[in-house]
Amino acid sequence: MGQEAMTKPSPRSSVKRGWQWAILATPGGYVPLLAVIVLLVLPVFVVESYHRHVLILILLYAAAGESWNLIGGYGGQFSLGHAAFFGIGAYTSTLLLRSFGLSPWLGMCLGAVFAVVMSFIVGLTCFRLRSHYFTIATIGFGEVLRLSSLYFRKITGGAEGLTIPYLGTKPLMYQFDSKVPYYYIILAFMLLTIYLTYRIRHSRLGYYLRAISQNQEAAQAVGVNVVQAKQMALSISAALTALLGTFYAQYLYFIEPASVFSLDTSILMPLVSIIGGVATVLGPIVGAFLIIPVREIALNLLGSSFAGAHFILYGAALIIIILVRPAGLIGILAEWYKAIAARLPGAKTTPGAPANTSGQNRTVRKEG
Amino acid sequence: MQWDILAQAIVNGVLIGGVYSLASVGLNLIFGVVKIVNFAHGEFLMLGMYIAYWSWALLGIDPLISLAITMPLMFLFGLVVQRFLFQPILKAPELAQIFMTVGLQILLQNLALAVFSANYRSVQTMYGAWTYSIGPVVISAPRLYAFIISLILSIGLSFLLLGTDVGKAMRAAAQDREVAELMGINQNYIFLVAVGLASALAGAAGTVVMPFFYAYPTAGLAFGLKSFVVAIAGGLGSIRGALLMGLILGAAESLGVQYVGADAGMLVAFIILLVVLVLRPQGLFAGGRL
Amino acid sequence: MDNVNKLLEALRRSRISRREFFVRAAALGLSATAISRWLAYAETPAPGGEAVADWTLPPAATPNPSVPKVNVGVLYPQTGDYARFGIACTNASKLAAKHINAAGGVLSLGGAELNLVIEDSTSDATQARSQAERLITTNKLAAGTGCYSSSITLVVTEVSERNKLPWVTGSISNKLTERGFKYFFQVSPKASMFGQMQVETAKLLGDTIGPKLNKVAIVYEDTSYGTSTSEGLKKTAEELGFNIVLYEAYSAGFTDASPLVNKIKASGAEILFPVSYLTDAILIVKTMRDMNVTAAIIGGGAGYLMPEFWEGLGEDAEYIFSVGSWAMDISCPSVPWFAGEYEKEYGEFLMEHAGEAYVMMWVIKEAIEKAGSADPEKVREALATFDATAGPASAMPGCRVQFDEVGWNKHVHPVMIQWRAGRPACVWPPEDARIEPVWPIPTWEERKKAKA
Repeated sequence: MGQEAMTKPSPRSSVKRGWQWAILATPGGYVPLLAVIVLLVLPVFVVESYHRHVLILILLYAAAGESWNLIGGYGGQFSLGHAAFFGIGAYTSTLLLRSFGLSPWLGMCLGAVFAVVMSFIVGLTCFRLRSHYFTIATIGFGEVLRLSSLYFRKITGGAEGLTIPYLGTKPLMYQFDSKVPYYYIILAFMLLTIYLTYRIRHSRLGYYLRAISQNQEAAQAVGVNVVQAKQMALSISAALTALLGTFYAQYLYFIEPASVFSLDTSILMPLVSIIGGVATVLGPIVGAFLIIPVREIALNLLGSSFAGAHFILYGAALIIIILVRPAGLIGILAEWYKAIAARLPGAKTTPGAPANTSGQNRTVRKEG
Repeated sequence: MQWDILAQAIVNGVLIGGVYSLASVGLNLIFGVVKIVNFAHGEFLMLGMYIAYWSWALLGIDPLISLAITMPLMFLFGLVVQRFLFQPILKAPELAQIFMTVGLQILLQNLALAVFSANYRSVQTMYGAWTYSIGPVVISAPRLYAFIISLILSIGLSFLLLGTDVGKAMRAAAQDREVAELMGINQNYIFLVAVGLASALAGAAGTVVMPFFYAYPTAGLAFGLKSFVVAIAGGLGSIRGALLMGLILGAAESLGVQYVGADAGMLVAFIILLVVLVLRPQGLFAGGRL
Repeated sequence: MDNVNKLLEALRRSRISRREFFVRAAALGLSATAISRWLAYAETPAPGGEAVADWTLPPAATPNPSVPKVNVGVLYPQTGDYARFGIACTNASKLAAKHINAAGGVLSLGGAELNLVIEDSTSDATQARSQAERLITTNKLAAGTGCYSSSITLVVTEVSERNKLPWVTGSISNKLTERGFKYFFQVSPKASMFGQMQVETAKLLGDTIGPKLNKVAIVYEDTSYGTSTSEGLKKTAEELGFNIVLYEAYSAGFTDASPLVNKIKASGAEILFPVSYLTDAILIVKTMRDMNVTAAIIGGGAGYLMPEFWEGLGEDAEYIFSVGSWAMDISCPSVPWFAGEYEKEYGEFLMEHAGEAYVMMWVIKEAIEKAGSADPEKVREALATFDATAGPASAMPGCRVQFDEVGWNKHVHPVMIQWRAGRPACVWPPEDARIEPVWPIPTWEERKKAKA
């Protein structure tokens, strides 16, 4: 491993515990806690089936974006082939369910394993490629998997796709009539991805990844094991994405190559990240909470208008957002957040700085 | 070994490969000079198709002749895209640039749907059914013309880059943006020309396929993806690479369909791409120079 | 009409005797054509016979504005790859609603106006799910219809089933009726039946008019549509003793048909059964013409049934066959009228799925009439016990719409069309057709000579 001097010491448990309690008294601690509580009780207030569905979609893409962000944002390797992992998860659990009656919870784990295997293949072949070449190569992987799932139709059902048999509410078989359990499952996944991102970010791996994404040669020169770090990030990312693929299958009740292995799916994961801000812990979440509603609102307003109207609005919105904020929205949101957080009770002021200023000179706990 | 089948497959592949080359040459130009990966490139091609169609439907002009209309119009379009969409985000992160073009792709596809409707449009030309025969190999006239024009335009671009001042300036900017700027080359002007040219060439590619293809709002997708494969495998930023790789891809796809399976065409293409990238990560012909 | 239906029903129950009946009827009816077949392609017969006078337009009336409107959901792709078809289906649904309301709306509810709630399913399954959620849960619907593409329909009907909303579709995938759903109703033939019809027709034509062709090539686009119909094709071809010299999927969205046609030529096929959407259908035919590949083309629907097929090929499209789930001139009495109305309104002939969309709106209307209520449960009951033998609600091939225990219209079967004078005219089975088929299909050489 690298020289010890380069590594940031990870907090030991006793120090960590003390640190954790103190933080709850500050906005940096209780605001996120409040946010999680709000998310937990949201289904009580959001009762319309359609609105719950949109929330589920938002959380799904938020989680997918976070997973992608590990390798694509922090690692700097812009993958546009993550649909490969998504589809592997979806097809593994679905095929095992249909052929052997295996619970998709178990199928999901197996799907994650296969995705990790795939991630090693991708890593071995593609990691020596730089930037755009890597990106297009990952597109190639996604397409190869899509075309293969079409070709081997005896196994995968081909273009016709596979349906999830209707079982009603069977928690052990990962199926529910009500949307509420789905909501909590995807919420759990999303929180998991945020947590993992946060931990990796503040770990040795995160440190290496940042170094690699800034300057790979320099990182290598000082002894960072570049290949191992990238592979680690990619594998974790792949496993998480596969879990989400199974969720998708169990929620939509139907999968086909065109929806789980497609380039469109691959594009949506980095899209929410870029809109929100890549290489940030909350960027993809922000992006999902913006992009999905924009798309749905466009559909709502213009779906019955002339053909193509809502997509014109959506495409224009994307263009405008990027023109206005190419670095993603997390930047400006973090500013607002800092400003508001400074005014909240319990906010620490740095020594020497006057209290209740406009948010300058604040130490940032939740890094943007 | 049935030689005539093999020969037919190779000929067919190379003919359509010429169009792939033309489509990806523009992509390379944009990447080489402006350093943006244009996901909406297939849609530029689609616009060229529609311009050719309407020239034929409203003015009765044959698509190959309407190149004189398509290329200038698409050049202007490229200028607009560069000036208002690309220029503001030149310094933005690469991912932001890519997604700008993704948004542009969605926008253009659906504008075409809204304005031109979803109906498939085709033109009727007098040479549409002509064929030439060389031994057992049959060559379809419209495809041959498309191939010839694609080659002429691609090679023409190469001469432009080598011979003219503007071309040399573009190559300089492609090699090293900062030094080029120091030498007095006006970046914005060069970028405008580059994107304009790329757009014109993509539009031309769309135009020349009209005699044997169809215009519809999502027509750009099939060509778009292939032009990416060609551009990357040939080496981003290498015009020569795009030219050769387009022909190779066309032939490989055709042979793949003939000898592996009819749905194996694109699979073969992607596998070739991956193999090339593994063996030569910067692309087959890359070398930094256009 | 009823007796004929009963006769056909009896025949249908026993496959062998049906074929025999067809063979004899065909031999009788087509012997005249057999004699004059050399001259057949010099004539330009006008397809679409006269409207049979059995059905009359319902009397004009206006809906009662004080009675609450009945809402029906219409969900078809208005964007993406399926836009062309989705828009046509939506237009046909709108026309049907217009006609229904011009006759007073739903009469058993006191003249309630039929109100369509139209949304874009998009051509993407995930977004279709959102649209289905929104359409079904935020509107008070009596029933819903859509979505052209089997994949989209599969996703959408998962939502309608769980929300207990009856859904009527013209999609064809066998998977749709394999789910055992209670709120699902399909008016169209099943995918596996199309290939069957393609091959059976080839055999019949060969046996009765001749020549008998034997070597067949089957190629299909690797989308849901192509894949679901190709199995039936292969199975029937083998059963009927054809020699399958080529059986391949090809990539949807290809830009060059030459490699594929090369293979077809190399296989020596005498009949080609292609299952394609439009651009590949045209590319394949054009390339076959260019390379002088003379296999007789018996298409698998979709692209082979669109106006653009004729626009793209002109006279080269003439005499090409295709199977379809519906045709604009089938023998049901009301068809010529509403097909004509559609053409007047939208300027192109009524395509296969759009025709079904029109019929389905009337099926829904009649079900609500029968239920005497806009309550989805009662409408579902009415659909489960539905049996229409007259009017547009019965206008599927077979002229009768009745759903079995899995929701499939058990009287329907595909039809075979042949392009004649720019229109896809139904030529088989005889009870659905108004004109007779021309066989064999003139080769490219013969056509050139005829033109000269």
